[in-house]
Amino acid sequence: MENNNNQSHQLLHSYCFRPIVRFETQGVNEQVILILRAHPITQLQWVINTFIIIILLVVLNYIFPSFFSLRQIIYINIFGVAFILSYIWFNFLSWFFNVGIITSERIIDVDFHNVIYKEVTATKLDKVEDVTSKTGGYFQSFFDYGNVFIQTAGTEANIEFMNVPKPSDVSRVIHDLIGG
Amino acid sequence: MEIQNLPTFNTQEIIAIVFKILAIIFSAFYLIYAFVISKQTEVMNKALEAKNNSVFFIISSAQITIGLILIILAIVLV
Repeated sequence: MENNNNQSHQLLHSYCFRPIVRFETQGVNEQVILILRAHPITQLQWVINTFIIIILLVVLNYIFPSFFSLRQIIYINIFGVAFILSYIWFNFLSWFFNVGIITSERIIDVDFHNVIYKEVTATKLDKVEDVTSKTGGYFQSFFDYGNVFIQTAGTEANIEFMNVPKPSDVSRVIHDLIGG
Repeated sequence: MEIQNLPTFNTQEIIAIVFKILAIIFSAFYLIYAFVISKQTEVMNKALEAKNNSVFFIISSAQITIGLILIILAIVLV
């Protein structure tokens, strides 16, 4: 459990308590309490895909000489490396900038769908009606990550934080802020 | 009337020409992708200003540079 005043960056910056960040619509006196990202273990799929693509490129290098000249093989390898690095970068950006932000005044969900489409959902703390945290399955229990659903009053948009670390702690932080 | 000999290509030359065309096209696509991601990284950095945001700018610029290098290589090397 983090000290109430100290910064804390845990789990590869997927659970950041009182981080030194600013976001676009932040108010003058608004303080960032918690920044949440998807648990790093949920990124395993694209990490594994990266290794598979690297192995594929190495294997293809044994087949290429039958069909292509040396210059062509060099170009294919350079392009392959560029593609792999771009794949890593794309997935990292997608993970890093899809954040949930809890401040002293609001709860904000910033989503970049496929990096290109931006969706920002925000709600004031006094509009929060109910906070539910869910953890299910072996992986989620073992690595302690899950979903946090924030229900708001009336026609305000509900907010969901998917696959975030320590969903119970997140729920507790929100309850502490709304005085519940 | 003599029929002039038409130029003939062997298989290797055809593969080389097709490869060069595809290499230029894919490199151009990669460059466009790099520009889009660079622009989108700016939007993302604006949405969330972290401590080391300059690193994102450097990597995005490097990606564009790699795209330019790929196009040049496709034209010159291949």
